[in-house]
Amino acid sequence: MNIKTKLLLIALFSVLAITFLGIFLYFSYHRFNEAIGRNGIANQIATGVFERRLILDEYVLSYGDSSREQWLAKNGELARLLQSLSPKFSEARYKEVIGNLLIKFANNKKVFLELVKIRGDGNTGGQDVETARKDEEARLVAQLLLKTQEIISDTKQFAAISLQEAKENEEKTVLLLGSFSIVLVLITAGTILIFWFSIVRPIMKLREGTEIISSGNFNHRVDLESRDEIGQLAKSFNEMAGRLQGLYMSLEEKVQTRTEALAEAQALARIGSWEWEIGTDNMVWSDELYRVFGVTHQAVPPSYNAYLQQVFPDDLEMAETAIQHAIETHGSFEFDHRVKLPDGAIRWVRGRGEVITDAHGTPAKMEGTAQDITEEKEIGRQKSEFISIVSHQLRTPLGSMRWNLELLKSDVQALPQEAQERLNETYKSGLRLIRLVGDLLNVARIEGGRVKDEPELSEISGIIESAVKEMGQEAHKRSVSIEFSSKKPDIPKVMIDPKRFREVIQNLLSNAVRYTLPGGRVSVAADYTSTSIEIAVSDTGIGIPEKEKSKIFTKFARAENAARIDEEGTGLGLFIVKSYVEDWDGKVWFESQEGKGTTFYISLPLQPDTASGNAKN
Amino acid sequence: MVKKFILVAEDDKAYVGVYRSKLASEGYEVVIVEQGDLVVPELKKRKPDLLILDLMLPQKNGFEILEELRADGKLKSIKVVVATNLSQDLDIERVKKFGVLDYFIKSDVSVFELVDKIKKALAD
Repeated sequence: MNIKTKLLLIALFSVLAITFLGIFLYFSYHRFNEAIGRNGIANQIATGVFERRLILDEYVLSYGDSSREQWLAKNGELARLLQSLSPKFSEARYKEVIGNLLIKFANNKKVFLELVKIRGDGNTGGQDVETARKDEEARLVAQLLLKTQEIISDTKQFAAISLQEAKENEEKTVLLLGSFSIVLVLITAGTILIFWFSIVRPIMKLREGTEIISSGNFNHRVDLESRDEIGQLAKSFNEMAGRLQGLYMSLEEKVQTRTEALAEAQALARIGSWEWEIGTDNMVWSDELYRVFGVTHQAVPPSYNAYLQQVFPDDLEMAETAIQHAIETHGSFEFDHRVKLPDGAIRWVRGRGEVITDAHGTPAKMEGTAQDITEEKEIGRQKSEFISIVSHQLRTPLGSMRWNLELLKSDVQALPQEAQERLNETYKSGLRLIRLVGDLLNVARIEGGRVKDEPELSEISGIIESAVKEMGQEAHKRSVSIEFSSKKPDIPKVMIDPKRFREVIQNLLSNAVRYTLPGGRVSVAADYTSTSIEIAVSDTGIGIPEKEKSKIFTKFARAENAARIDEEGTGLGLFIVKSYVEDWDGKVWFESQEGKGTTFYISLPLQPDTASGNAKN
Repeated sequence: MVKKFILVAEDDKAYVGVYRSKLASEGYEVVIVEQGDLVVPELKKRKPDLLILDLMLPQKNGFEILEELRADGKLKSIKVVVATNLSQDLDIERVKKFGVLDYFIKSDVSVFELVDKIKKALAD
């Protein structure tokens, strides 16, 4: 049975019980009132009878007309009163009394009228007649008195009966009132009990259940058997808890699987991970991190200080600076450092970390990894050693060829014309080979990520000027004019590796000069804004054919027309230029029209701090 | 005028010939040492005005020689020009720490350029 039905039944029962008892109470009280009323009437009759008796006494003494009429009127009044009552007193016990009284009043009247008649016949006879009349008179008065006495007795009986009835009804009313109170108490108690057992207690159990489950005990179920709404609620709640438990368990399983997979991946990649609460010594290390550092949980409890202690002393300052910088800029860090293993061996580790900020944007946490890159370093070292040896082996014969040819060329008068020409060609090929070796070495460096960048605050117009001057001789030989024209006077200094920047300008100038026909012009211009510096190297040369434009920056790319007029190019120069410029977060692009000329543009970002540094200068 | 004395540490015959003829024609006294381990004893025998040092030498390489030189009070002041075919940044950096006057990659420089630089170095 549901709670609604229970409550409806309680209400119905209460209404019925109260109505029922109310009706009974009403009737009982009514009857009591009636009985009291009847008792009043009985007293009224008794008083009337007593008054009639006084009137009779007066009449017997005086035989006056007025007292006679008074008696008759009183008697009639009483008889009428009784008659008017009779339909209301249909009850047996009243019927008999009232009937008797009515008969007695009627008899009384008859006797009285006899008395009146005898009185009216007075003084009409002799002494004997008079005596007889007096005797008759006395007999009638006595009869009247006797009857009056009987009426009084009957009236008393009537009063007693009504009193009895009143008493009975009073008792009944009290009893009913008592029952009424008891029923009310029972209804209240029943309602409270139903509320307690059907609503309050189950809700408390449910609340307890939610608290237990929210504390993490997903096994808990609410024990409620009732089939009402709360029972349904408990059932749904238990189902929900069951699903939650299922989800939680599958989640746990997934987390477990993922954690294992992560640990495996970390072990395979030799990457350990960590988490650090910035500003504290609290750190969490993954298992692999211990292996990377070659220590154990027991020997080294994880902490920020313990982490720093793993870093090789010579690398510590660099590491701490990088970490501090990452925190200050809310950014990240990456550096390679050495770790001295307990057996004394050196291991190379790549540390990476990233700042995690809280809701207010304050750095709260750092997450990062430490990767064992010893093998990578070793491979890199071997690679660079290999390149070093190969380039040395190539340069050695090329260099001696160059020098010997140069000595030979300086003494050309000793050789016939034809031999001189052959010698020149050989020399040019030698130079081309040397340049190719140099360029290939650069490409290997770029692709191996081993380009050494040593930025310093450099005056780029000076570098451009000297590169233009250096190229002057070659340009002159080819009858090409070359000049540097800066658009603005004070070009700001730039934080850049001057050697590599010079290489970039040299490459662009060398291309411009070589691919410009005699009589042409090469010019370099530099300009700047508040955020960048732009350098343009223009020529009036052969230009880049439309179909070759897209691949001009790729390795070994040489435009067809370029290869025709100059055999010396290696096709690596522009690749190197682009790699370097992009390394500096700059951009390189060009505009070209075949047969008219080409302009290469380089744009380099200008750091605000260097700009202010320039302002001070 | 006394001839300036240049000691050349070089093992490659093709270069030795060039050094010998070119430097002699420029009026220098030239001694060639072809083995690394003989360089320092030679320097001790007679202190040159300039040492032209190759880095890849048999027995003892140029780096070791430079280290020894810089540790020796008497030889510390000798002017050194490195002429080699090692072109890696690391090598260049390592050598520059020893305070040499110049570093030439032989294949990348013409013999005339080299001689010009040597002349300047000896004139200073």
